[in-house]
Amino acid sequence: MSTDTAELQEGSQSGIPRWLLPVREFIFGKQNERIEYFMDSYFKLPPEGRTAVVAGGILLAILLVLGFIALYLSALSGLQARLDESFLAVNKLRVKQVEYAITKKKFDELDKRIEDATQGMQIFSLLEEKAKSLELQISGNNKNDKPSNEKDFVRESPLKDKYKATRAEFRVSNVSLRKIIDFVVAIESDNKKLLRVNDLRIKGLYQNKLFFDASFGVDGFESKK
Amino acid sequence: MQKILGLDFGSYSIKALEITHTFNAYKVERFYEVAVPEIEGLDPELVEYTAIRQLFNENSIEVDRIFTAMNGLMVSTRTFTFQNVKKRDVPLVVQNELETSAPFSLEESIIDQQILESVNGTTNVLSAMCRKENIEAFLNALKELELEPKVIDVDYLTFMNIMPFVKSEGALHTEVSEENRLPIHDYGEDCKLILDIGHMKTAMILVNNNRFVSARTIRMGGRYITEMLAKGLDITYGEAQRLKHAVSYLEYKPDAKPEPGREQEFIVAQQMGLAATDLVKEIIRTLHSFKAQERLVPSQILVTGGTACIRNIVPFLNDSIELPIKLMSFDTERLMIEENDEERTPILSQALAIALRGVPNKTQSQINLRKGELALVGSYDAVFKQLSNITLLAVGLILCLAGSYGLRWWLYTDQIDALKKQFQTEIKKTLANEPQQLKNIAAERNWTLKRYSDKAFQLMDEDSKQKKIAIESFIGMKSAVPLKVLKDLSETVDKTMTLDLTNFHGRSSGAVTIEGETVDLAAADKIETLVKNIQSLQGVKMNDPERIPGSDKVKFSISANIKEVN
Repeated sequence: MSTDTAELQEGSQSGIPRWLLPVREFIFGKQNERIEYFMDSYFKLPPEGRTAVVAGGILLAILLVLGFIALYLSALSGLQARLDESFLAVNKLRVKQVEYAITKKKFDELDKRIEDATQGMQIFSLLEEKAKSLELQISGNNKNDKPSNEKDFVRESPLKDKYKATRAEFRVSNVSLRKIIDFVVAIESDNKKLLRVNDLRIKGLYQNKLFFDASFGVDGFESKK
Repeated sequence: MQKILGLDFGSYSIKALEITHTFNAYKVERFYEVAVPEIEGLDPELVEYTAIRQLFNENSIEVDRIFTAMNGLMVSTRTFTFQNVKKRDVPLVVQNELETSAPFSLEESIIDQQILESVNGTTNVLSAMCRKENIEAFLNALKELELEPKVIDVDYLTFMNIMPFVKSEGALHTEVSEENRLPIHDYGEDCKLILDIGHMKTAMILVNNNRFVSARTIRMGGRYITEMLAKGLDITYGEAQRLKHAVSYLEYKPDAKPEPGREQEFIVAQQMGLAATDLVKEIIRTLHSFKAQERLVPSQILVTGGTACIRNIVPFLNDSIELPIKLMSFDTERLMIEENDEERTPILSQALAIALRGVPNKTQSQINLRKGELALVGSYDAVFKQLSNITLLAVGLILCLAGSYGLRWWLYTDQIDALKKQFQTEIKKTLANEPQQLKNIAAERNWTLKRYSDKAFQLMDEDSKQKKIAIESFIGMKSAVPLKVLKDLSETVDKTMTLDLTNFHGRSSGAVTIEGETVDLAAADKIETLVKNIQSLQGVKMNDPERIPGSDKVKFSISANIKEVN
């Protein structure tokens, strides 16, 4: 009888599948020498040692099973946490999007307003035009960037790359106080151009109490492009 | 609790002894003995077989392990001393040694060896050699009785197992001169001789410090005494045996007188004493042999064996050999023997010694003649099946959990990836582009949406904040500030009052200067009071008004700050 057939028969007789025979041989030894050694060593232990071995084995098995289950649950919990975090992030984004959209819309409107105000604007032409409508003559025109020591919201906003604040300075001579006030109102009432008189100097004329010389400092915006 | 059975196949009787391990001691649970009668015309092997079958049939013996021993007369034992031989090479070296001196061929033999001691490169080895056919025959006989001994030792060597349990009588040092000492026999060692007087033979085992040194077997024992008794009294062997058992007493003193009415018994005892004298001579001869060969003289002789039950044998030996002799007894704290068995200690000691092979002991015999092709291959199929079932169950559980986790991991990861994509798309839509910082995170391997979203929210918040500030700053820009001051001034100053404005300066910084002329100092004071009441101004201060030279009028100057300035 060949060895294989013998092994097959042995396997079938013992009820152990054939494929497990090498495993048995590996664990127990060819002639069960390993298990015999283990059993002998076990039975040679004092009772306390045997109890310790059995208790240790049971404890180890319980720890292994519990450890594996704990590992499984922990891994699952980790997965669940990642999914929850992802859902939370998407939900939070949706809430933030609404708030952000409102702010963005207002900001875009502001941008549009400044853009409209600065588009094709020649400040002195505009001022001359307004002065002319009030039969005034402006002189000493001078235009600079707004001084850096003064408040300038453009400079501190996301619009700083597109726009800059400017100051136009000019004079009007020998005009009545009413005309001066009308001129200031005319400059500032033009909402589209966003001009504001930030510096006004009125000086009375000698011997003439009804007429004045006035210097204006008008702030506006200009596109950087 | 493991039950160990020691089987002693004696020539007079077969003994079986069962021991168990209790908390801190071993216990002799049961002892069985069945005599092997000598029946003329019957094969002794058949009688022996019948006897052992009777032993097992009459007593329901159920044990976990069986240990037995071969008759020492059938085994050749030798001790060798090797220098610088590795442990793993010992079997080979022993085989080489035996090749030249063995009484039978090595191929037909079973050889086993035990390292007795290994000190400073000197290895003392005990070897045992037995014909294979003897062991096979022995095993076949046992197999028919469905007995499968785990170990087949040599009967006299098993007394090594019993030594740690023998009651100690204190240190009895051997008087051996230094020059006669063997290198491995140090000072302070305790040399004893076990004298096992059996039926057919007497075994003498020399033990030094509980370690085996040498052994001899004398082919003389209880049977010799019976034979001599039969011869001396001219009776049959059977009658002599009955008389020996009935009298069970040995008389050796020449001047001894029989008790009245016991003259017959006295004659039997005298005959037994004469027979025992022959045995003593052999014993003394062997002791001389030990002294010559091993340079050792025992400090004590421990007598055991069935023949040791004969009364007066110990004093007889004591007087004849002139060495301290006592019956072998055990430390009952470590080895518990029931009272009725204790009386039979000499009879059960061999079986006990065999059974103690199964308990942990540093100095025990390790010879097992059941080896190689004759080794016991226990069936652990049931254990393996249980083990494989448990393993399969555990593996199944692990696979189920792993599979469940794998499936969940796949589903969850898929969903998380979808959420990541959705988030990225939404962010791109919201911020018009994906900022570089977010791109960097997304380029990482195994990036988490939490980290990405946290950064995205931070960027959104920062952007939103800047925009809000810009909007609020724009909304907060005040229009026509100088004009408002002029308006407030004209509304405050009564029309009936005379105020000629000579200079007005309203700056973007909020500083206002008003210079003017009025009719008198009282009017100037009133103007100051009025200006101070203007709500849009603060820190109003008028310098001392002064009259204009060459005029009735008074000029004044007021400085103030506008409350709200862009």
